[in-house]
Amino acid sequence: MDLPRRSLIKPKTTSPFKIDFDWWKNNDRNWRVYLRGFLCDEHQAMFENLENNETIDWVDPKTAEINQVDGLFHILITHCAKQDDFLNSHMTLVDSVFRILLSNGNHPLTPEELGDKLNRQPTMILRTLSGPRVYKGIRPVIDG
Amino acid sequence: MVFVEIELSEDYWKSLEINQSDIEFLYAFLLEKETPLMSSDLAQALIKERIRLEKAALQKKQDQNGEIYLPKLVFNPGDKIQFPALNWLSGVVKETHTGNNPEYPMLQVMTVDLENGQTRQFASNLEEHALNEVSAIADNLDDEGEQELIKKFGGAITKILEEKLVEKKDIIRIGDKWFPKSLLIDFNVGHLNLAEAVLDMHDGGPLSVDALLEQIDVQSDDPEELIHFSFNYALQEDPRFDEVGPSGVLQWFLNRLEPQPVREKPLQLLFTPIEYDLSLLDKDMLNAEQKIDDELVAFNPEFTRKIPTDRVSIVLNYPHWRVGSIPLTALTRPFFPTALESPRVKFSLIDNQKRQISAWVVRPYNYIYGLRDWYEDLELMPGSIITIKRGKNLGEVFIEPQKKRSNREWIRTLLIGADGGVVFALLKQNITADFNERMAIAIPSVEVLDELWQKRANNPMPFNKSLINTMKELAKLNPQGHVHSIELYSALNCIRRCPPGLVFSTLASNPEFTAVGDLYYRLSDQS
Repeated sequence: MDLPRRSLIKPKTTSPFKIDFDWWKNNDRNWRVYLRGFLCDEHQAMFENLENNETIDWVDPKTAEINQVDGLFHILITHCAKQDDFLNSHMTLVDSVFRILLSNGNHPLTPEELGDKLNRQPTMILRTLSGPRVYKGIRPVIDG
Repeated sequence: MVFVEIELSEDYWKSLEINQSDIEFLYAFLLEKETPLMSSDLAQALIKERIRLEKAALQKKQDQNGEIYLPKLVFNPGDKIQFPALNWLSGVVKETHTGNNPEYPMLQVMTVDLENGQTRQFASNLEEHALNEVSAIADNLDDEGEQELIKKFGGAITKILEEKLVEKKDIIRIGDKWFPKSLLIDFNVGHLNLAEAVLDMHDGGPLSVDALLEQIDVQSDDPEELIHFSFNYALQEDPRFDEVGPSGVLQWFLNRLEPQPVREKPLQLLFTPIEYDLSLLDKDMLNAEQKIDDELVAFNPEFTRKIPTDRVSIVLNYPHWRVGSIPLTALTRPFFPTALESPRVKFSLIDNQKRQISAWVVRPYNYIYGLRDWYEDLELMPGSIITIKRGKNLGEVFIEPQKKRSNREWIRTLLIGADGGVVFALLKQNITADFNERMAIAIPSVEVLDELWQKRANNPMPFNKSLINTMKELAKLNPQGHVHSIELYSALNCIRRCPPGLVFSTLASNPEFTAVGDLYYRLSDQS
């Protein structure tokens, strides 16, 4: 049976998108510096002395068990991206989508879901994200 | 040691099974209390006992497995610890080092070899963590927590416990209380003979054990509640006495003085089962069936009637009118007292003249008995509508005929010829209460009809023949020969007991009947 070639599959408003951090690694060596800019004021100060790619001892809130996690990414997703002022209406569409995906723990969202959150047309979000240029590593999720 | 943390999950209580140890505990609990207790009291005692046992088991585990882990404490290599949040897994601290977390600068990380073979890391010297607060939970379980559990699971556990206790022969139940059989006070046959005499003097009863014991000299230093419980048990075990009180009230009646229709179903209400297929009924028939007040109709929630919650009006059919009863249906049942176990409940109805009518709820046969004189006094007839209302006080039930100015109206009247044949004629009759036109039938000669029932009881006519004969007679009253299904049901019940579903399914399936619309039928040409 002939399967469609993945690269030719055209995303739809129901196709899921997420931030592809491999894309960042390949396209911007300072991507962690960029991410650090998203930390809230409290954690900006707290993580001042932390190396960009340093792991931290994360404490499980239920059992107090220790796990080593990517400190910057973890605190960004679990705390800073959940703050009320993480999103505002003055941001560009791409910035807003990037921040929504971070606040969603980078779990994939479709243009329809993003449109609901941003009060923007899903078709416009789809047109922006599915063009030839990749913005901030936001790409469709390809199954398999 | 800091505390014993006990956190029995919801699943623990939801899936609770009562075992032999629980029964032995309850037995001992009742012995200690020396008084019969309600199921809910026993369930409460059981919950408390289970908590006590779990606490003791955890305390033992704690004693064996070392310090309980709190993130705020500091441990050293070689220390033995147990982890409540990991289902009390224990382990030995292997090494400790300074943690790396900008949020907790003082954090220490310890590596622990657990008893299950795993090696995992845990926080120490950490003040801000929920696990440091668990001692408060443990304290709560002594009082508020226990009450919370009883409130939340007490009802369900009471039910499970009752099911289990019923199986036990050495613990007995009277009303809603339990006590070990072997510890009951012994009442001898002399006491029971006296109780019979007292009840006899009161026309059979009903009387409570309080009233009975007042007149029987019983010498005992035992708690009064135990004396009552034991005497109730002795009465229950003697076939001369019937418990006839509503739920929560124990009242005794002499079996031999109970009215015959309370103990045995009267002939007029006795339906000899004939199988019929309800799937033959169309929606209109099912709807009509559910609107008929007949205890032989199985309740179908799809055709629920909308009625006010404080009253219900019912139409009498001939069998109930003749016996002096009211059918217990899904609609009428909530208005009358009921009981947990007693098959018969004695109570009083109050009519619109404030007269008290002594009546019985006959639970096995689904009717209320005791209204024959009342129906006669008010000159009601089959088809009359009566209203049943809840009183303001618990257990009070009011009854009244639906009002109508007395007058004379043309009513289908059942007559019995000299040859014993049944005919229907339209005759003017005195009307004293509102009635349902399809159900109304005047019966001028009740005694003659009684004889016919008696005769046919010994020599029953096939159902189809009865139906066709009745249809033929009713058809004579209408120029087109059309008969409504409900009229046919009502008329047929004047000469034999049958549910509406049987009449309707026969009409729908027997080619001798032809439907002419709106639940009207005529006899087919070949009949």
